[in-house]
Amino acid sequence: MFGKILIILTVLFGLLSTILYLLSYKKDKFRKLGRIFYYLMTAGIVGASIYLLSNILSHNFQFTYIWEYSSTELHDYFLVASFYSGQQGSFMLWMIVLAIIGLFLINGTKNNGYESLAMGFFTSIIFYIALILVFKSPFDYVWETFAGEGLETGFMPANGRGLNPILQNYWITIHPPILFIGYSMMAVPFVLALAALIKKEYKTWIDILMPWALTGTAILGLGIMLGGFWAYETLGWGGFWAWDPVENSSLIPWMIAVALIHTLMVQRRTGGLIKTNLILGMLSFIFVVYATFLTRSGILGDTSVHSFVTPGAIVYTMLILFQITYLGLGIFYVAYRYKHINQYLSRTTIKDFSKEYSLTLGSILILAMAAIVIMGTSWPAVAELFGQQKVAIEISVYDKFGTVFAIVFLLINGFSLYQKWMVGNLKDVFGKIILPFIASALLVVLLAFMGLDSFNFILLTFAAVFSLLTNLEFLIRNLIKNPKKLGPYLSHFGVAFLILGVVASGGYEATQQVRLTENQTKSAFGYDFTYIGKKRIEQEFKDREKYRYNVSIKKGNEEKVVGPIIYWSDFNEWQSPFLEPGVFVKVEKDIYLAPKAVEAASTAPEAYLRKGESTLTPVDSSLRISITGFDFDQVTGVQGNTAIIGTILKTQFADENSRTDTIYSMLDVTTWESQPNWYKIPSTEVEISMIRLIRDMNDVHNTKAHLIFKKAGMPPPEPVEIFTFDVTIKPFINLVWLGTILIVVGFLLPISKYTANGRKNNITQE
Amino acid sequence: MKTKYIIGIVAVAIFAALAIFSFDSSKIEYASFPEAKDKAKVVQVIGSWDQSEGQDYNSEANTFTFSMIDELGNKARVVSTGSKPNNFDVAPMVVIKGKFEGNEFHASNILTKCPSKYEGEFEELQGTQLYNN
Repeated sequence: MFGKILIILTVLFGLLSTILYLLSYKKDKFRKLGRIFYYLMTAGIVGASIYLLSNILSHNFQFTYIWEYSSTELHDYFLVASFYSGQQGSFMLWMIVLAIIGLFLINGTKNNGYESLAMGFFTSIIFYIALILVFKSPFDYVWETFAGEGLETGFMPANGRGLNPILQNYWITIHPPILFIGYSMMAVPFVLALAALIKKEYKTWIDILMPWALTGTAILGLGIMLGGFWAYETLGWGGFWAWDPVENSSLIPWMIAVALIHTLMVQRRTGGLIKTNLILGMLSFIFVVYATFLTRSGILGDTSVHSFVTPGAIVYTMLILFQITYLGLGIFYVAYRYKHINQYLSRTTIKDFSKEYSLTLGSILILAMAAIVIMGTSWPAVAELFGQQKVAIEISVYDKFGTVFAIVFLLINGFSLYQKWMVGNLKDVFGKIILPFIASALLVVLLAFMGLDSFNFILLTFAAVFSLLTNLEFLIRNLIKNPKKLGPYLSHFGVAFLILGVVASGGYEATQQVRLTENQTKSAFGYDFTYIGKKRIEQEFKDREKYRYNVSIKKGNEEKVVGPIIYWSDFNEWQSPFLEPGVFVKVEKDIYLAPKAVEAASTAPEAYLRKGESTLTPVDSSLRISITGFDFDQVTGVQGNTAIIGTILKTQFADENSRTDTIYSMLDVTTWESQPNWYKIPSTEVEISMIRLIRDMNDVHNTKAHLIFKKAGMPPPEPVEIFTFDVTIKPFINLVWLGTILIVVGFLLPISKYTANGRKNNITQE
Repeated sequence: MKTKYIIGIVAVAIFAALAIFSFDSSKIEYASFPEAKDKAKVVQVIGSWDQSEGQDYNSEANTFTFSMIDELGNKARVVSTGSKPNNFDVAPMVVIKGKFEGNEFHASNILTKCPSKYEGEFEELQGTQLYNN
């Protein structure tokens, strides 16, 4: 009850705070009260979160949510992660992050007249999420969730179901919170834009917004990148980006925010793009809400690798209402103030071929790409909405559009560095870019000789190198003189790096499969791979059996041991293994080892025979055996998962005599394999066993029996383990990580400059 | 100013048309096995794997083979490159992407769905031994 009461209090305080804050726009005396209720609401959220967390830590599985997502076996830090592993908890996390950001926002708006409206709308968002949590509560007891099943009040499950082992990695404690902070920060441009529209102050708000927009974009970008890195490094998806709906849903707001930062710069310098900024400011949050809907409502269930739960009709409807409310508010106020803004706008315009012209073009390109991602992500859902046949989207479409946009974007970026604000002098610019242009062309020609082949890649590489060189020039020029100005150059330098990394690692990766027994060595891509044995890890956990398969990678004097991981877990009833890759990280490439399978292979001499085929027995070449048929009559004796199958063998002796025997195998009907059941062929020294039936569904006559042999009386040879893995060479993948880090740092660098400006402008405000 | 708007509108229209065309021509339909055979192009099939027919991972060829029953009850043999996907055995639902080659459906992608693991079912609760608090 306690938790539910806290949520209800949060809803009430949130509603009161929203109303009081909005009222205080006209009557300032309500503002303090609005703030007090905001603090109370925050206290409610913090209280509810602590209550949930402490129950998770004390394994109180009476709560359905805790029973669903945690277990006694989990480490403390995974227990913390199970807080937000389910839908209710992630709404809780979103709420608490929003509440904390709100505390900073109060601080940032209380002295410039924006608090009433900005905080009023901001609190309404928290109120909305809290309301969802009333209907979809993390504090339901198991006997409430399964009401009608006759559970007694006070039932306590002995253990929870635990966290999906795939997610049990330190990244789950890092990536989701960072992503949620980024997500939540997108609410700030929205509320500030709404406040600006109502206040008819289309200029001042961008000074307040700038540091928020930069921080939010940096953090969201970091969150997205960490997700990609997590997928690559431990989830073993093989890549860092798959255009999955869940990935896209955080990319869309980020791209809009990046475009917004560019258009904000244009407005700061020229006074133009007022409407654009107001709209973009609201759009990035609108798409956070839209993405939440897409990924939480279950409508994308079939098209994503992420699994979703259908949250039930109430939450579905509330999410739709949530979207409509904020979209409606945005559209209404932009339409309402449209004429007024235009009066404002009349004296400003964007000069052709000036710096602001290029920045605007760049923003349009980013938004166009965002539109592509929105279309692709929504397509399956929209198609279903219109009663069309269910469809999925081929992700190569994103790559095609992305390539074209990236080429133009990078060229414009390099070009824009030499342009001047409010001056459109093309000749001047052409004179300055000729040198980096030729240098890039020469470099790409060189790369073409080194193996860069496809036309798209050549163009993309050229554009990236061009952007890289021009930004490098400006980085060096400003390094000492003007370190606060480095941000944009650093970010674009990062973008160029990222694109080069994507081209190299995505376009020129190569994969080869390697199968090794212990201490066996095989080479691939010029490296010697030796499987040097496995080691059990995390033995303290009874719910899993986890092995590190150590593989030595050697070339000349260079040697490195990597350990891909294979494990079985209670989570899927030990039915199939979970796999984690091992990576040899080098400066110029990663050698990525993705485990595929381990099998016990018999070392006994073997033969594969179809019906009617014959072979000399490997242990006694004077005997020839053939299969004359199979005895499936015993199949009727299927017990559980095993079937008894007889193989009818004809043995021919050197003296032309022959005999017929039937040997029986107990086959597992899911794998059609069997433990050896040795049969000594009378009057010979040969023992034989049929251990596997390789069936051909299309042609029964093509069914093969896998036979093994040994000398009579000898112990059967120990089976050996074969470890199969894919080796993938990922050239220059480090550029991807380095590039993203530079982008993020580039966003963070200029913040201090803008906060200082913001303060200065506050004084000079009307 | 007017010409600028016209250019803008035309550009947006061309872009939208291009995008819609690209997505429309790249969409992958969901189909049943007989439809997939008729269409002879890449489609997605939803269904479940047939436990009575078994499954097989051939590590030499690196292929994973199983029988699948689509939503309408049609059965086909499915061959995919690579190992068995995580959670395959316990997945009540499988989504495969690929096309028919002869009588075998060659899947380039297998998606396994495991919804019961994300929200608890009462049966599971009963499975975990209960005691009164």
